[in-house]
Amino acid sequence: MLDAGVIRSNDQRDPVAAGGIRPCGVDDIPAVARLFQTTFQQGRKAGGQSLELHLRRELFEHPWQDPRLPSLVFEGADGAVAGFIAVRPHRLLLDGEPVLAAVGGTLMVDKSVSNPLMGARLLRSYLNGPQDLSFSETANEISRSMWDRLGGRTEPAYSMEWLRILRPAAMAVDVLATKSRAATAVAPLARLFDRGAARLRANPLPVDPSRDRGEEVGESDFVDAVLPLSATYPLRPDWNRESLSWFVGQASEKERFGPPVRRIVRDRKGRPVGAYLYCVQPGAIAFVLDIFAAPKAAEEVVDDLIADAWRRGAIAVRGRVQPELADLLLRRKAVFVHASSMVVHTRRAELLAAIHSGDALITGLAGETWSALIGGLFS
Amino acid sequence: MSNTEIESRIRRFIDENFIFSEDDANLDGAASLLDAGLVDSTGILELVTFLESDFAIQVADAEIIPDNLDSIDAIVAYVAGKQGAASSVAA
Repeated sequence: MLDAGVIRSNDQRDPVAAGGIRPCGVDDIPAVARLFQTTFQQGRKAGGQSLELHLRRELFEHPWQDPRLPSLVFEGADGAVAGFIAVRPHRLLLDGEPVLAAVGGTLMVDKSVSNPLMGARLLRSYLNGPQDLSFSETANEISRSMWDRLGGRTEPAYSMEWLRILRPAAMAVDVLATKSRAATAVAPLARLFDRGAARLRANPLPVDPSRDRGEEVGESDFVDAVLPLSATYPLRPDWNRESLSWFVGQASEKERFGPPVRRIVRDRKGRPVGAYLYCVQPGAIAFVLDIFAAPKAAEEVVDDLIADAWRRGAIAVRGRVQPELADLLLRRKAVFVHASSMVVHTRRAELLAAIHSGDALITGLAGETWSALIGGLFS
Repeated sequence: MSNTEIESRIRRFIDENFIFSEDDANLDGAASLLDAGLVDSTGILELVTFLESDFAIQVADAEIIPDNLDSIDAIVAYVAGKQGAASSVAA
């Protein structure tokens, strides 16, 4: 539950030591935006959207807005916002029964105020809320450890990213360029190498461009395809056209990862059997939000993704591992690496069981990474 | 439960979980656990979980403040106060 109110004390050493937690209001957005810029955006180029407008939309115009599940701020005794956790209401269905969930993320505290209790209190307040299920797919090591102490559990199967290299030489140059800009001087050679390697029969990372059988679609057709494809998961979001359109719209504003591409794959009768949303730009690693596929069409859908990313000039494709696609992605020469952790907190064993067995649709559009706070550029 | 017994159990918990250097082994009761770097955000949650389970008290979010948890003396006073309040209600 939330703090009863802001606690006042005479502690002179640290004004925020006497602070308290309260629901985040619209008036807090400028302070939250400043905290976000300081915590997550330093050293990143600015651009694109207004962060304040985005926060207002994401926190207060969310289609599943619920007054019981507000985002929280930590207010110091001086009245300033010194900490924040975004609480995103989430409606799930477990075997058709509604589940009230809340996705917690963007936990941040003002580092100029030395008070390790702020983050702990924000997280504890959120987890003590009325929701049946709390989860986050972006927990760093500190957050993961805090969730663990509060009775949460890390789900390894959802805590990995897959990476499929398409142009190995360009990928190597890209990695080296993060250490030294001089590496970009050999980029033309890398392109030549990759072009040659693609023609080799012995290429260990083959791409079959003829597998590019899907079609790029608009948001409306994409939503129409995803709704039935997502209905097969025992634990899944309770989307309708309106709410799913909102999430897809938010997920389409990841300027750092490239423009969004929505594709669907159809069977011989023209029925959608797969759909995916990803951000892709030439010379960069494409970022996949979600892959939806009927079981028998999974190979066709993943092959279409790899071929499409290749055609658009991506050097690799990455995305959050979805357990049901893990084996297929391994067979398609993807490597798996640990990403941020998926942490889960619930007192309902059946929810944990559904997630632990890999039967849940709780990442990407169905989780937290739809947020433009991940991958967006802000002014 | 006496304050001596409360302190003994709290010292044992802190010793087992947060103290890794002999220099910190004989921690002054008034010393700040935060300033000494012995407790961080994760440690605070571990401490709160311990207090709730070992002393059968409920720690409200608003009570997770340095005034209550930043030193062994403060923790002892806090736990004793909570237990005293609980027994008053029970009486």
